[in-house]
Amino acid sequence: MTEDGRLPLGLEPDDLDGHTIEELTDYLDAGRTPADASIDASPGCALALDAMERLRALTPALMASDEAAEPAPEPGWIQSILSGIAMDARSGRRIPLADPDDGSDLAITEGAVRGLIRAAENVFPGILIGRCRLDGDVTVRGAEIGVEVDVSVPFGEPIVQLAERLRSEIAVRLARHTRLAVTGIDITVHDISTWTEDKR
Amino acid sequence: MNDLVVEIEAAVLGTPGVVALYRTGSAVTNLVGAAVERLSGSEDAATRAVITNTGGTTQVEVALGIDSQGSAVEIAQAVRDRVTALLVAAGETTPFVRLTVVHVADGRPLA
Repeated sequence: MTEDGRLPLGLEPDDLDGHTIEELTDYLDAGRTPADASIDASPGCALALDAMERLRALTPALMASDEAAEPAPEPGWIQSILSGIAMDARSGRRIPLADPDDGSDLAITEGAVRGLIRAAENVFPGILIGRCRLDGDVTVRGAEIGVEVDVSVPFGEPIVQLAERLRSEIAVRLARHTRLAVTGIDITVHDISTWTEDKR
Repeated sequence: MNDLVVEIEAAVLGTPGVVALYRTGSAVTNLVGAAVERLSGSEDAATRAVITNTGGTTQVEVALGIDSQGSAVEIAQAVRDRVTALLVAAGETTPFVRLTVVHVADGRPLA
């Protein structure tokens, strides 16, 4: 806990329903067994655990990079990934899945959508998604929304084609799971890495 | 009412594409719920669907985790239909379902 009462990574205590990053780390270390009903019932914990697992997948590559004296990624990029974990754990805005009617109100959280976008990196070995933003009023059905993601791509891959494939994957995910009127998906390549090669 | 909650939760979890049911409500409510579960050590100590009755309208609130291979929209509609049917069968004349997808379990490519 930091002096201003925030958890590490910029998380607020409420984001994890009273749990801590340390508890979630222990839970992951134990393979999520025995099942902890309190953690498993928390959407914030679920999103944070997803992000922490992604970070864990990244850590061996970073260590290998260090051992091989390869140029490490810039601290700003790593901070972007860590910030992404904090943002992923927040539910954010409530995005309508249908027009509300007299009998129901159906929605998906912004945190779930960000997690869905971020998980697109799993399809492309070597790609890491850092910051992920939904620009526009997502709470209004039909409002135009822009998507911005920052990525790191592996050295040796044609960036334009890789970005186009990532954009298509993200578009399919958003179309399948939301009713957002996406006007564009902007992908900014912040880093070309050799240190992610063993992630392939 | 608790029997109805249990029925609703079973119906929600039995809907294809639903993989988890999470606590609903404010952070404060969730903190209390989490504390109850930890103190009791029981997975069943705190139900996750919430039923309230205001002005004659019975509202059910649920927070879902779904599989990425389905469609959040279609899964949400299927859950709503199941829950509404249960409420009507229980004699509720003006049921309302507030449903939020809070997590999408992922892993496989969609494109």
